[in-house]
Amino acid sequence: MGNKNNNLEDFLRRKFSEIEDSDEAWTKPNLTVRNAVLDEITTPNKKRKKAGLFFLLLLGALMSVVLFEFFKEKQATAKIDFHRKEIKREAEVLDKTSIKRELSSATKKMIEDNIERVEATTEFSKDKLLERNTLLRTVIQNQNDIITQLKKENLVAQNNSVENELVKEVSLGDESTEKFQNLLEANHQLKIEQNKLEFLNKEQRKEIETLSQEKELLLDRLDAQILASNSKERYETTTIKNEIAFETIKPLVADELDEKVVVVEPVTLEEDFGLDQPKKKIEFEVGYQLGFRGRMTEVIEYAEQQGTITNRVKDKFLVSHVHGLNIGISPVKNFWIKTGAHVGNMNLHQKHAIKFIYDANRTSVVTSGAYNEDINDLSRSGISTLETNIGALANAQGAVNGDELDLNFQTNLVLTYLQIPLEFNYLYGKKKLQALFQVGGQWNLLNYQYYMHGFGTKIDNQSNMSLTDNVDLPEKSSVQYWGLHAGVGLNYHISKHFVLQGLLSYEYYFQYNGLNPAPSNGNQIHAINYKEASPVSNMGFGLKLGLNYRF
Amino acid sequence: MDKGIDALIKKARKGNKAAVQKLYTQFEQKWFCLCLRYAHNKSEAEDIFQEGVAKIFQNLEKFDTEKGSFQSWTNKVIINAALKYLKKYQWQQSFTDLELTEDPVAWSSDILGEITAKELINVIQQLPSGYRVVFNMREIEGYAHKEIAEALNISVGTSKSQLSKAKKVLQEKIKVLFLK
Repeated sequence: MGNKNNNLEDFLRRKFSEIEDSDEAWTKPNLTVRNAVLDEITTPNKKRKKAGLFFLLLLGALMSVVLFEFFKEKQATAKIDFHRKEIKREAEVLDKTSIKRELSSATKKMIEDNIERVEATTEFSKDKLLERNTLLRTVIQNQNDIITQLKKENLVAQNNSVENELVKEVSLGDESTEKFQNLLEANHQLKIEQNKLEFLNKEQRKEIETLSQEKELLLDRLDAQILASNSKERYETTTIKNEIAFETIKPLVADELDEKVVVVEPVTLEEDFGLDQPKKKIEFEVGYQLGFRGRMTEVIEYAEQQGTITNRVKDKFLVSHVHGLNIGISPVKNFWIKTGAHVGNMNLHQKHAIKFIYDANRTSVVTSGAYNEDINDLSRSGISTLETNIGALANAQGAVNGDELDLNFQTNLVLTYLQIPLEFNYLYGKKKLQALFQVGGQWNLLNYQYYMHGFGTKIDNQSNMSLTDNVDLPEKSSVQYWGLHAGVGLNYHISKHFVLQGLLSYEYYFQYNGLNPAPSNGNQIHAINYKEASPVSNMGFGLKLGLNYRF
Repeated sequence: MDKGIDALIKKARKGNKAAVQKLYTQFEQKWFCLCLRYAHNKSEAEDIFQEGVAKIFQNLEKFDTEKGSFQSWTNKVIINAALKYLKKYQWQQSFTDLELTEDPVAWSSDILGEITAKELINVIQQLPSGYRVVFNMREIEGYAHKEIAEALNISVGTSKSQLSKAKKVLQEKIKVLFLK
């Protein structure tokens, strides 16, 4: 059995070894598999790549840590140097009184350093160059700080105090020119101090310019040395040269002084005493006016009894409504010029009763402003005579000649007027409620109408004669005249644009009220030969309330 | 060891693509035939082949020329890949006992001589996985039962039993196929 097994093993191994060298296709992987395998085994090992990448990352991280620590250390060193300089600078700032001395000593020191540097250029060492450069920077920085500090603490502070004093004085309204002059003097002194500082600044700039030129010279020499040195020295010298070239020599007085210190200019006397007021803008106003106007009537007569004039209508107080529109302009604060148009009307209604003797032969009531023997009715408005014929009288029943008759009638006077004023208002006060003063003139157009109506006649102590006549006898006319008025009132600002005004005024009119002879009528007896220019007097009173819009 | 192989290995280790290709070409057929024996069919063999060859070149650095030939080292790598593959896909069906005939077939050279290599491979591939692996490892590669037991995580007895049964199955199949 063992032999059999051995035979089997040998047989199998032999058989299988045969196929390992066979050309039969089944003994080989197909082309796809082959290519896939070849592709896989010829591609760089991903793990190896990952390992390499990881190694590089690790190396990079380590280098970053090292660099971070290095720069951190360097920054800490720089901070220490900076604080050291700060301490030194603060110590120098404390001694403000020695500013000029320090400036001059610093300048001398720079010049000396400069001379030393120029002398040492033939044998300068890199360390010395760096030291001098550092020293130069320190000196410049210190002087910059000193000047800036001086400017901030002295000049500006004093300037501000002057400004405050001026504001205070102006606000208090102190008109003391002596104190004002003192402030001006202090301000002047400050300007002088500023000029001195600017002069120092210019001097320092000149010195810096010289130093800059020397710096350029030094850089040129370094260039020459770079060309003549070997690679290592060249690198070091180039580094030093770059450091020096990179440093800017700043002026000893900082650029802040180029920005002019604001010196407060004192206010002028005109401003101080309020003589130079800023111009206000022109304001306008439109408004509506509502009120009352009262006038006294002038002579209005009528015959109360035949042959006599017994009733005179005079000094009756008539009240009219007033409506008007106003426009105004205020060229100067609190001063207004206004105009507009006002209209109004008034009425006078009266009943009359006259007695006369009946005469049948006198069949008519004649006109013409008076009455003659025939007349039974008369009324005078003052402008002209209203008259009527009452024909019915001729047939008066029951009346015989010589009877005394009563004649009743009514008169009505209607006045309408237009007024165009031109007035000047002055408002007093700065609060919402202001006093108002007004003066002005006006042009007036007065239309009036006077008529009689409602006639009735009866025999005295007897029944009615059934005589009626309601025909109006109108008398119309108009007059124009000028007038003046003055008033006082209140002005109340309801809001920014709306203003309420109340005004009480007195008006005087230049109208002619004289009597003129009335036209004569031949049959007239007891003729009243006069005529008035206006039925109302030349005085009036106004009470007006206005609402105005300002813009 | 062949100096040519040694040189190729060195170059391949350095990433020389030509050396890798040449090394692959030289051993491709041997490795694939090995896979054929352990696989159930050609497709499986190709899968095992891909895995195995990749492992060879990935672990080329680990090859020690003093510990053995390149051929035997690569065979071990391929077999490990095959075992791994089989464990992954077919291990549940491994070591299945088949009903065997009572009559053992006498292994005579006359009989075996008539079987071609391809037929033999087919017969082996038809064996259950456990039988096939043990048979290959023991009869072809020459592993000891102890080594086989350790590799397959089975007992030595099981390994022997599997081998015995594998042979019987193989005989029976050969009998059925070729001794009619």
